[in-house]
Amino acid sequence: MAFNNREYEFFMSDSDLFSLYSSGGLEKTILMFKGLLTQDILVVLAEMLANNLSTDPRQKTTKKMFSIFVELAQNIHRYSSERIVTDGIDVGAGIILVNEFHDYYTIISGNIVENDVYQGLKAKIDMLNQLDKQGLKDLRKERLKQKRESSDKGAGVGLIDIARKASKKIDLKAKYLENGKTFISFYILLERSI
Amino acid sequence: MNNFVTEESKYTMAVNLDAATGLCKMQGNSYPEDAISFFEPLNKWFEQYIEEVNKPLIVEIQLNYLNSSSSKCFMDLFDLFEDYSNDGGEVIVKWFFAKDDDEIKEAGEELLEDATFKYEFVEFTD
Repeated sequence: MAFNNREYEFFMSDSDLFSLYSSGGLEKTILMFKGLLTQDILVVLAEMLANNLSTDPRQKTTKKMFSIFVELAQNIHRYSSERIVTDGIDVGAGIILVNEFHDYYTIISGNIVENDVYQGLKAKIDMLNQLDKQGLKDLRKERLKQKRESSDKGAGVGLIDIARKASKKIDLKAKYLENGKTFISFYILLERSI
Repeated sequence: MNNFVTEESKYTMAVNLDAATGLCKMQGNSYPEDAISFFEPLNKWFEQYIEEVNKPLIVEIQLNYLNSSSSKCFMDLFDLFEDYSNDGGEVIVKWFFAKDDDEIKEAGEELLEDATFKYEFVEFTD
């Protein structure tokens, strides 16, 4: 047989796809993506998202959404432990979905990381969630002015920006896997402004 | 000294740095995954301009969206302007923002509010 039996069974089990398709109930899924988050794919998804929301006259929400989406997607790209080198560029994989509810949007991202990456992220999120608006603003400025650490491409400002734009505290969930890895997911809520 | 010109892409700015006039324009989106690599030749150009030309700089920035790592790169660039200004160089940054675009306006304010060189905010309507 040319294909793996288990993959074939999964492919054939339409109930799995249907449960994914129908999960959640009332919300409208604006966007769902699983795979390698190359810059080209990120751009297409971000533009699609902006176009989808542009019917919403409240442009402020659209800008915030765009920002949260890009930072989450670029976090996947940077920290995911599932990676492939494509066209000479090292790319990370993950899942990202955006749902629309009556009064708010949810933006959820997930990817697999090494356990120590999760511990580091958790410590950062716990610290950010303690801060109020002014605290986040001050911390952002401090980080922008700090000299770069050579390993830190994102300067650590991305998570602060997500925290500042989100309407609720950042919810970071973790599911421990085998081999020292963890599946992490960020749950972000954004109110539709009036 | 050569000018520096880069075409706009969907996620990187159009950049036009003119060594003869000191007029420098950056326009568009800025959310490359690797912002440092994008900004590196810009920083180099400004360093060379300050070293060799040593005349006024008029920097016009008109953005639609910038990601966090681009913000960090702008801050590094403004640090360079700060040093130039402290050494007697003349710098003015004009930060353009579309009417009602509070996100871009605030992003500029937070990058520039402590600057000692000249800067101004310019609102425009599409």
